[in-house]
Amino acid sequence: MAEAPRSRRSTLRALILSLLGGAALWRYLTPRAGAGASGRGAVSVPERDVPAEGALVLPQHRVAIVRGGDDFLALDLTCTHLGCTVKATEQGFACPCHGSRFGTGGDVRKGPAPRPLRRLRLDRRDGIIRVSRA
Amino acid sequence: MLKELVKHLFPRLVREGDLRITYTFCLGGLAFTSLLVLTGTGLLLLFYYSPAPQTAHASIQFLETSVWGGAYLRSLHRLSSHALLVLVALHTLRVILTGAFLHPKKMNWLMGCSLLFLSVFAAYTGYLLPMDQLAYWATQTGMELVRALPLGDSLRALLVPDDVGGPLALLRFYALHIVIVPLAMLVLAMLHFFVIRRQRGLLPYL
Repeated sequence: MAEAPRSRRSTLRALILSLLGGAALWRYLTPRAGAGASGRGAVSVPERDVPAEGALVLPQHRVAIVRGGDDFLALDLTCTHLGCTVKATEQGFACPCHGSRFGTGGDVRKGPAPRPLRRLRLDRRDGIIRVSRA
Repeated sequence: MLKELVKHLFPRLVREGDLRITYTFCLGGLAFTSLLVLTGTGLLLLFYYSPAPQTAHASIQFLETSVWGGAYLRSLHRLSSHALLVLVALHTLRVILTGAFLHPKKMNWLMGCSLLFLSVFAAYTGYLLPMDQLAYWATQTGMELVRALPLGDSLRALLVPDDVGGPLALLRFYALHIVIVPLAMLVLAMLHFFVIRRQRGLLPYL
């Protein structure tokens, strides 16, 4: 298949047009509101809902609030391996997809998860806990 | 005119050796047959499927329980999609083992590789559409895998702008699954066949 040699001008024109077209298509396909539309922003719960030496698990928000005495810790329940929602167990958290295990502090006990569960920002004010995914 | 067209679809001459079944095992032809079955059953499924997260699963259940032949058609669509993947993989293996990717057929090998990739992508986009637990989590993990690629985050933003399970994401998978990917596959398959015919090879059906 011998092709006619392209002139520099037509090559440049094709290149510029495809770049412009690609950029326009990219802007069209990535709506501004898209990133924040998942509806999993901030959660607020009263402190007394969290059992002492236990955890309050909110699977629909993918958040767990772990309590040890007066220390609170908010964990993102998205598995750091491939993004499934981990389940609370007696020893900590377990991922139903590929069997990763996490301790109550979110630390990896067993792979394939490469990193501990993400800690989320937690604010305590007047007995209300607010967890946000900033 | 129609007669002329049909006449020109068939090759003028066929080499005897090409007619041996062990030459190609007709794997490409069988894969194309699965693609045709997928197109036919897919077109019929379009009449019942609803591409919105709240209604998708219910529409599939309605198809399965209340439509005559609905469960059969859906099973056939699913089964042929499995067949397509297996046959395309075997066809690729045959081409590799017989060295059919070498010089004069290099262009066609590359087109075939694109077809293999598109088949997998078509299967992946179709997997989300029933919106059941399996679909949701398989797509969720797949989209995390995409992130490992260079520019993976951008690709993910294009495919699932509102996260897996969102209405935009489902609509995009739907558009890709029913128009964009199949159209690309049919066009590429035609080019694939055109090159085979020009190199005096044997085609399915014709």
